[in-house]
Amino acid sequence: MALDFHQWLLTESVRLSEQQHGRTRDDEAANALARSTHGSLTDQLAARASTLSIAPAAMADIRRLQRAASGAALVAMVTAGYVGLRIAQSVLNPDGIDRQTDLIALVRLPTLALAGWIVAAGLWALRGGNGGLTGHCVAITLERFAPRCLRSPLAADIARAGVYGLRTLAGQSRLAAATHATWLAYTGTASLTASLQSASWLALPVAAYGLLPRLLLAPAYGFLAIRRSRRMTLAVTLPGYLQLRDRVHAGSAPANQSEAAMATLPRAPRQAQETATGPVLIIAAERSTDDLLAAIPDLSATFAGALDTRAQRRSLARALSDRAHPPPGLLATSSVLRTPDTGTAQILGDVAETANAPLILVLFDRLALAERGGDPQARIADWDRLADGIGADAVVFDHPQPDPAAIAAIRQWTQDAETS
Amino acid sequence: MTDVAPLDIGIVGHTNAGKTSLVRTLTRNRSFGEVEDRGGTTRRVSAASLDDGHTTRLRLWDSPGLENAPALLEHLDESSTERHDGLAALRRLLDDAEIARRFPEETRVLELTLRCDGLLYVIDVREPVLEKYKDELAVLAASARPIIAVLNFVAADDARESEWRDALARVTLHTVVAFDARVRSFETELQLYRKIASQLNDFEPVIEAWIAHRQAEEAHCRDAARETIATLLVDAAAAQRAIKPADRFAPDPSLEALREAIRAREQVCSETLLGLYAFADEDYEDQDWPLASGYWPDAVFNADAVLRYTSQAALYAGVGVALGGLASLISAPIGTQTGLLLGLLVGTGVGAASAFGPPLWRRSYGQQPVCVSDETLERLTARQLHLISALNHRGHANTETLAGAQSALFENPERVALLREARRHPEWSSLNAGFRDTARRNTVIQRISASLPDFYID
Repeated sequence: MALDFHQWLLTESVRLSEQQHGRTRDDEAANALARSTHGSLTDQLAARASTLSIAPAAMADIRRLQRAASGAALVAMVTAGYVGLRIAQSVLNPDGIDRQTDLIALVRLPTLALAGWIVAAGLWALRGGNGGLTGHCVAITLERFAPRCLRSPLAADIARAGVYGLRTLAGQSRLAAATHATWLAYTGTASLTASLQSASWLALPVAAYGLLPRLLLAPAYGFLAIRRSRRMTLAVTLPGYLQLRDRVHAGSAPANQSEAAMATLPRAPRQAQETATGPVLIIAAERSTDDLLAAIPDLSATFAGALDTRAQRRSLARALSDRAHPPPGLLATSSVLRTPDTGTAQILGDVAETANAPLILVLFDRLALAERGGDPQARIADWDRLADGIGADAVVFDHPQPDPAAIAAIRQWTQDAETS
Repeated sequence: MTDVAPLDIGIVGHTNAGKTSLVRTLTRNRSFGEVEDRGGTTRRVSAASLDDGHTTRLRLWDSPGLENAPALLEHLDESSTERHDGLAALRRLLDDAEIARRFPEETRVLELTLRCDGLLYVIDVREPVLEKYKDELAVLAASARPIIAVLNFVAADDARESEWRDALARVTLHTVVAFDARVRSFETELQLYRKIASQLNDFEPVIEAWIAHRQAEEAHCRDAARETIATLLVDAAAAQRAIKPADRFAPDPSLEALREAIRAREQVCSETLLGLYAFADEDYEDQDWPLASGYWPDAVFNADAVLRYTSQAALYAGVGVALGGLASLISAPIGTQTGLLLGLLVGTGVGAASAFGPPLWRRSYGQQPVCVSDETLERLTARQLHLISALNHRGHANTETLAGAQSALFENPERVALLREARRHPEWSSLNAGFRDTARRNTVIQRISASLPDFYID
């Protein structure tokens, strides 16, 4: 749920880079790892960033930046301490001609700086920003100089992430801790110098106005900086993060790994019986037969019934069972708009078995399926498989522009059935 | 994740009715399961979790299609001894090993229904109302679970929505939602969840929480989409290129370089929008487009530029004064006033040279920068708005590739003014070397976001 400062900087740097240059292309492994995290989006984004191939180099840069920032803070403290020492010495110098002014300057400077910091901190809380003059200077230094000192491909983005980091509570606390520590060094050395020379008239005001508040604030903000740096959160509604939400989200999982084969009804191709009499029978399977009879008016076949309802199926089965001799063949019209299913296969297979006659499927609506955006070839292949499963033939009949070859095939099949 | 029990919803229906497509669209997961225009594509039961980042609120259980309900219903009727207890009959049927062997898909679906709290029965309304579908409903009704009929493909030309509604009413199934899985509609999605809540009172708080989450998520998505386009526009408006032509008859290299930079930046914007709406890069195919015209600003002498350069020089002067003062404190030979004065002079000099030098140099030596014209910026806006609009209405089961195009756009004077302001700030563009993400840049981005027409985004 929460990141440390380094993780935050890395994730933010990756976001800034991807927002500017596009998503990293080799991120599939990183996304997969993020998905396996099963944590919050913040956790997943951080996991993804830390697994990208650029992450090690970027993290090395972040550590470099951290060391540079610590070094700069140390230099500032040492410089402040030295300045405090020199000013205290000049104030305590008995030959000094402007002793009173120097004393005021020594006490006034840290006091004014403290007041200024309180105002800036208040303004920051109200308006946001880099946190006063110090923050502004650090931000400019980061933007201008840090990219030149860092080595990874994300150098510029790390520097910008650093600037954004300054605007967070953790960044503000770090800045405040460093600022107070710097003034602590300044007032500390001045106060110490005065004490060593038994100048309590100098040591006491410096300690009261400068040293004591900093002695409280520096460790307090140091503590806050450590605490807040371990609890960083990402603004996950930013476009750069939000665009990854579905890539790192583990949303689906198969619940049942067993894959039983589809029920098939393998039946051998049927031949017309020697005892067969009468014309070929036409049956309607989820499609009217009118188009077929209109397109081939002289077709030697008669309509026997439909198969769409239980009542129709029972009626047809009764009629077929009641015949003294089987028909020479069954011609079933159906539509490729329908998805072939095992139920239809079973019904057609049972009818052919009851009739004891060969079956041919006449499939309509190829053009309509194509117009709908379907794939006629794949669908016809599925119907062919169904026909194979029940020992039937299949022919595609494109009404209203039937292929002459299809008409010829139906005629031929009918004649063959009747004469065999 | 907390321990609140999620609502389990079974997605059932005839084979190839669009069950997996529905799950894809509801979960915005275009890689969930397999989607093909053929039967038996889904062979196993798979779950998709809908979680709000803390808690799993719903689980959608995708199932294989029902293929042989008429025969199964006959078995159910034959084996049923208790006319008014379909559930007992169904359990008895599922205990029969022979039934499991003969109806493997149906058995799996029916076992699933008994584990779920409610069912979404998906119907391809392009299909005629056949008895086999009514048989499916009769079999599913035996599970004693609330059923909500989801009418899929209602946007198709050959949809038979009213025919289906009438048929469903005749079997007393009145909870019906028209939800075309290929066409995304956020309002319809919420309507579907509300219908579920109306059928499952015990889970109403869970569904309400999920609806609230989805509303927030959608709002974030739209805000992010606006911001993404606005950032692109600011980046493009402030972008500059200044390349000295090697051959005066060749195309302007500055314009070419600018065109390439903006083209690449626009692609990043499109990819971000695709990501925001959970689509993949390959779902969108953009066509090449010409940068209509360039714009050559008078960069050195306009008021904004002079103000900016002056403030930059002043910043250097301030740093110089501070360093001079510090030097005078540390080094005794330099007096305070001398240190301050020296710092001021050096700082101002360096600041002025670094601020005014480069633009003056470019102007003097013919490398005047070229920017993007207002017309091009409007075209960029129109193209990205078209993309957002298309993504807003695209279901995650849709596998057709989107083609880039422009929306009709009414010029917004405020947006034009803001982009002209951006043009005066080259440091605002991430396409330029001295990019800086300032507070004013962010304000301009927010205002441009707000100026984008709601019609395409919301």
